[in-house]
Amino acid sequence: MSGKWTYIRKRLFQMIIILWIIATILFFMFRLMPGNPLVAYIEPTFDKEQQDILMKQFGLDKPLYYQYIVYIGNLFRCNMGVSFFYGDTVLNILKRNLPNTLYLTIFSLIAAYIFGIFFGILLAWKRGTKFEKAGNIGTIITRSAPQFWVAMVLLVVFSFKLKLFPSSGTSNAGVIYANELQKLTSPDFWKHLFLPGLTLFIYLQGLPTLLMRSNMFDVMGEAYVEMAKMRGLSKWRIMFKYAARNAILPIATSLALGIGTSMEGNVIIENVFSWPGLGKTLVDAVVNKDYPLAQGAFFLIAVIMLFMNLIADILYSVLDPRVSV
Amino acid sequence: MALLEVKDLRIYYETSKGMNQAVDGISFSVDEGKSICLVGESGCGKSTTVNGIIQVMPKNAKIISGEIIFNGEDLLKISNKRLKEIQWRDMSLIPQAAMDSLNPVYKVIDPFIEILRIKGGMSKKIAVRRIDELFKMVGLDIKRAQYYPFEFSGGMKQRAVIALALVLNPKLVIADEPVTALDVIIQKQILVELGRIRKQFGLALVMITHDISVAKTFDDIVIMYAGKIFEKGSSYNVLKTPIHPYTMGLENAFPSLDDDKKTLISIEGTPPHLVNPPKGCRFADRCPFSKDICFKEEPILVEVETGHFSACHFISDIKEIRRKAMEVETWLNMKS
Amino acid sequence: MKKVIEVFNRSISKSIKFLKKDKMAMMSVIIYLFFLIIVIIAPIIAPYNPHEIIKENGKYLFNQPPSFKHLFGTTNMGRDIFSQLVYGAGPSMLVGFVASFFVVVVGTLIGLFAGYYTGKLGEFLMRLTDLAFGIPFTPFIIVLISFLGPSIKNIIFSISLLLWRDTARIIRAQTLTIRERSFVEAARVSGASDMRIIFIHIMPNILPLSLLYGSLAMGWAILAESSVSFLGLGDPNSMSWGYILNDSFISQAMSRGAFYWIIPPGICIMLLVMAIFFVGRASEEILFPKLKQQ
Repeated sequence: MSGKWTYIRKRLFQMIIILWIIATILFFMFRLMPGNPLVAYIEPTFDKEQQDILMKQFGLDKPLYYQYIVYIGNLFRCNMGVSFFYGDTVLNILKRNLPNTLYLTIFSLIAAYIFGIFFGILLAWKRGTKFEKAGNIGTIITRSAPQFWVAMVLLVVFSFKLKLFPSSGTSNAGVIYANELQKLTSPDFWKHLFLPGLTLFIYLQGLPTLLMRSNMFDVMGEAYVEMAKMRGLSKWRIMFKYAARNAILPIATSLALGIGTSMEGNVIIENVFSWPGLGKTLVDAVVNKDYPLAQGAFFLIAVIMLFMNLIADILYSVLDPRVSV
Repeated sequence: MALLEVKDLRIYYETSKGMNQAVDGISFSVDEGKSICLVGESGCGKSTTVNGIIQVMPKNAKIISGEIIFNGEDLLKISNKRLKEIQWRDMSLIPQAAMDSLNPVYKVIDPFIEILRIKGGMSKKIAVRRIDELFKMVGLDIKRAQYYPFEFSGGMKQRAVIALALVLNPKLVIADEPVTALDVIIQKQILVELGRIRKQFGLALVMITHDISVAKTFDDIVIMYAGKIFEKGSSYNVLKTPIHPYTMGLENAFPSLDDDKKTLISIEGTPPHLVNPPKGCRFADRCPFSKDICFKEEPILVEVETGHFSACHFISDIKEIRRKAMEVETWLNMKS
Repeated sequence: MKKVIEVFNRSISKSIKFLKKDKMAMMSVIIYLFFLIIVIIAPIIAPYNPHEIIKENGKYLFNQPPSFKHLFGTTNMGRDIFSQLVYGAGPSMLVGFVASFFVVVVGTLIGLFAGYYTGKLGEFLMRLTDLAFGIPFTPFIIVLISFLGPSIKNIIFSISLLLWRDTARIIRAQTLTIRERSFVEAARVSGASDMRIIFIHIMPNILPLSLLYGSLAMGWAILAESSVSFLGLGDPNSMSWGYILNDSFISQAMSRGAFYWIIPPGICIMLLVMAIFFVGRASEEILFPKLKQQ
């Protein structure tokens, strides 16, 4: 239906505008805050040749408005300067670390949502029982406990005491994966992914659980569910085809919220587990005053978050036939 | 033997404020192929009664006592499995809220196919043929079945749920205010259609309405108020010679397409709360003819003439009451 | 203004009645008040200064497990953990209160105006809210705080800069609905000015929702502050719970299995935030009594 495409186009356009504004904010922030506008891209430790290259690339000797245009142009071409700390281009560093963040986020999100949806249905089914009350409290606990602390507790118990899982990184010391495929097929990688993934999962599942439960309550009172009962259909059929199928729609919108939350979680969790992803990159860069890298990492995180939101919106429009225009 | 026999049914709701005595001793019966109309104001217990008959009620509704004998079986005593067999195959319901009665994320044809496969044992091909018949019967284009509910108009949705109720050829169809949400012209159309379908298939029909003028075409009428039956009998008798003040009040209150000389008079006041129902007759405070005894003793439903019942202390004065009830002043004077 | 006080009083009396019924909500209020009291009497009950390095008999008390003198043991630099915990309540609650206050005020105002004015102003405010949602929260406050410098003021500022977005969105949605109600129509027809309609007629109806989101914001703000402090970007002068955990993290308390150092600060954060969320949830029951009793 053409209606859906207009919707997608509109959202895509919106996303680009927001990214443009974020880029602009970053532009001003990284130039105005430290005081010296040059500091955004050039560090004294760079040799003269490198400094000259960067001056030219970013027009650092030209007026501000010119720099801005050059900046946006460079951003399009993924040129974000050279990292002070690592010496490599920001682009290369981010390219290396991006997959790790994606693996962590996607793995945890999928697990959290699948679990949350079914657990939410279960809680709704067992409404009023002690099980439901306990489930509710448990869910709120997972939203109230700070993620880094949950991570620390898991680490102490499962990594340091029980020695079941490694405590940091994506691989054991000295091991380097040749490429992404090798990484993903290595059981050692998954061992490393487990605890950070579990931590993020614990935090994320609360939202879909509570939401699904609440939606089920709303839906179970609807006329079409009553009517299905009157037709003498089986309890399972009613619960899934009539109730859950409708209750799940708002979950798709909340997916955007969940994604946003998980990107938050990433930053903290990656730092606790020294997981080499965008979040760790960002914090390290900020602490090291590595401005080009900090800018780049922040921007890329925003891009991913917005992009995943867009996917969530599209998913919703696919699930609900009423959404088109 | 009657197809459906409701005997002294009592259904109460558990609420935070106490037990709401929504249906308090209702008895009526429907023979095969006959039609009966349950008439009464909102909240009088009509919907609760039929929800009790088809056995789909909210969690806080409790059946306190009574029997619902359908085709010789007491629905309140049979197993869940047996109940599920009966539901929709022998007895079905046309809902009040046709707007929301179809699963919004599936096409309109879906519930038809679903039930024909599961309960009718038909393959999809045969099912579609049957659905085509049904759609024609209610005046819908079969091509529309591929649409979603939100793409149907109110009238179309109503026709679709009627078709759905008939899909397995039940013996008894309950219609819960099937035309209330529609405009008057369509109302008449659909009622006529229902009547035609009923005669064609020999269905027994139980219809709920708060508009007494609709009840004309039915075989029998039951007048309900605040969980009780006030009058019951053949529609001819009840409408021509009502023997209860409430019935008379109802007749005065509704416009009908055929009789435009009538002045509309409404009954002042509202029905009582049923958590602690008043002693005596529940209509006493709104009835222009009530006397002391009405507030103290509850009138019993008695057979005044064959097949015509009434629950009023002043049945002996009914002719006089009927005369006075036709005058506007009788009802307006209740304002004080 | 009178209307606001009226609504407020009504909410309070309803709340008290409700609390007597719901045990979880009652406990949450107790926990909340408990921490509040701790903040106030901290100087009295803390046996040591949280920054003080303790020496006994010439020896520094590094990494002591819990004892009578040090209820929760000492850090690897010899500081009393119990005192740190007690003083840690203050910064957390301060950030929570102030940030949530800003969130309620800013979020509600933006939501009201965005919902009432559907023209250019409404569009603009809605886009602004969308933008706020498009900026990743934690990364943003990290970058901002590192620029502005680690002080409580800057932490509160950075958090508040984005946290109003949820409130604004929900208030806007609510305002849009209320706008269509007949009493607003009546006010408009009788010539009431826009400001009057917004503040006298619409606002009292959305105030309960604002307060609900304000309490949620408080929980989120406390978590945000603890995360930032944990990363080492917090205020070193105020010993917030997040900061205690940062300390424990960098001094390898995990590998030493120093449960006494790791568990308590996290429990404190968790309990406080939980209490806030429960009270928030309970108030949702009070303010929107739906027909949940089915």
